[in-house]
Amino acid sequence: MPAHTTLFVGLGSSHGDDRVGWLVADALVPRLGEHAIVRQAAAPLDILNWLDGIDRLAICDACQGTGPAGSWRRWPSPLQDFPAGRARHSHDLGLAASLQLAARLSTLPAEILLWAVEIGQASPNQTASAEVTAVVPAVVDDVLQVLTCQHA
Amino acid sequence: MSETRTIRVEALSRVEGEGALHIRLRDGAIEDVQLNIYEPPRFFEALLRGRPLEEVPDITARICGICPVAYQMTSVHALEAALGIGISPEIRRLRRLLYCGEWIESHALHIHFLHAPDFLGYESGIAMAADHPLEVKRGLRLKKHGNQLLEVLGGRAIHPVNVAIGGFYRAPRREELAALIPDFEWGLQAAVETTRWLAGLSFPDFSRPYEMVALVHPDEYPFNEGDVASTAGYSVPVTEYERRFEELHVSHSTALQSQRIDTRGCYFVGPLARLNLCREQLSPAARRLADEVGFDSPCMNPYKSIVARGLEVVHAYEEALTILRDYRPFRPPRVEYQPRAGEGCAATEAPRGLIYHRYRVNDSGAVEFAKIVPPTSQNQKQIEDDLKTYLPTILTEPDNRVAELCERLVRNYDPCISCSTHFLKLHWERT
Repeated sequence: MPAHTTLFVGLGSSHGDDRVGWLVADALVPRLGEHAIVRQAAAPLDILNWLDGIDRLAICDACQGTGPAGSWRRWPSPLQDFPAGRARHSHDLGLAASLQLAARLSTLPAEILLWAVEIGQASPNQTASAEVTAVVPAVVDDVLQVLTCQHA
Repeated sequence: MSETRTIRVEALSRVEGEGALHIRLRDGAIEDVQLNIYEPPRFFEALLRGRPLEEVPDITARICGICPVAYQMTSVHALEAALGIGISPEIRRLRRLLYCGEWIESHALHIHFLHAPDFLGYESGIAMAADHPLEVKRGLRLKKHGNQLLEVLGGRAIHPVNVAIGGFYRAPRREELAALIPDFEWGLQAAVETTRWLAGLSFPDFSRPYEMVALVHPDEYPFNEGDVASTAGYSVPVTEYERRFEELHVSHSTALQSQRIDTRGCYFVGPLARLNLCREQLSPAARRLADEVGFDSPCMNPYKSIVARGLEVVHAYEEALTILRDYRPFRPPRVEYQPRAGEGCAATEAPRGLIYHRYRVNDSGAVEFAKIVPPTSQNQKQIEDDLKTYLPTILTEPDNRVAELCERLVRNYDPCISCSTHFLKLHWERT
């Protein structure tokens, strides 16, 4: 029986490297099993729809400005130095704002984990680049290690 | 010696593209106002050329993550016009249901998280949530319902995949739609409460003699079909759209702007335009509520667009409930067709206003030409004109306050830039 009720959300879009969160979520679905509920989202605000009964929230999203394309890092809970500036797109609250809103509404889980993958291009309707696609297995491996205390 | 005040707004912060405002003053008087809005559909017009027409709904859905249905609906209707396809009444009703879902989630997002904070003195929806948790949680739940409907009928909430030329790839089972009814019954009452709350807000006294443009239909509030009508007094088939309106390049923007061809004037699309032109076609509950809250007819105050959105959420819930309750599965889920060379156009009503597409396809079933005119580009010139009128009244304010007030005015239009609290960076040029 898992120690946590975990929600993993892959954030992204269909635009180039910005689909990395979805790619990680896709890879996790058959491997996380009972360890987590896995969802994909295009809008960070949608995460707030799924927080009932969740005590650990894990997110994977694209980021820019932290390093070369394909680099990635994990932010452990609590989220220190979380880059608050990236808005998802022009109709929505960004991830940081959405998490802040959840906290303000007292619905934010106690534990939050974030994996952020540095992307290059986010061109409309393009596939993810080789640099970003290549790191998906490593990110998945790390997610699995953290959420299940297992290696992939 | 003349004094020039130059204020330059760099690209909008935390926005996917560029949204900038450039104001040039000379001796304290406004000499020029230029607004730039990022316009992603331009890439897609080129991207669509050569692609199989079956891919168009899926590709155009990716233009916008909040309003994919608007692009899908307009594309399939335009392509069906090009191919000479007629859809069944059942397919038509399901398409209206899908649009209800998109209006609910888009309007709920804008009302609660982007626009209402302006009227209550908060810098963001987050700040507002602390003092108004009931309203914010209600807004989240309304948005969730819209997403759920898109997921059930569209195949997924992210870029629905079930929309096809000729109909849908799969018609839902009755129990799938019936399962939504309890939430939508709650949502209808919640939407009424939300609109009463919005109608009680305090609105700036700012009204102008706009020309408002929307689709009109004799029997229904417009979603997917209708003639293009204007408060200026004309109503024309959609096939006449490009004889009435044109897009033009402006030197200060990478985005195209729309204007009337004959007058070269701007015009206003969106919920306020729809309310002004189609109020009698609102659902019964929405129409009663519009009367109850004293919504002006016509209403020419763009700040009251937030109330118009509330009324449209009520309408969307009421119409959705009717369709959900009456739904019976049908076959086939889509009309079969053979590719043929042709050209067709269509307009539908996105949450933000009228959207227009035109396509030319060849007899191999490939797209040769695509034209996509989103509501935001149609409003851009109007927004600029509003700013030119509004700015003289606030010039004595500090620059950051001017930027804030300009953002609020722009947010009335719910354009494709209004995600962030501070999305406008202001460029002033003072000489």
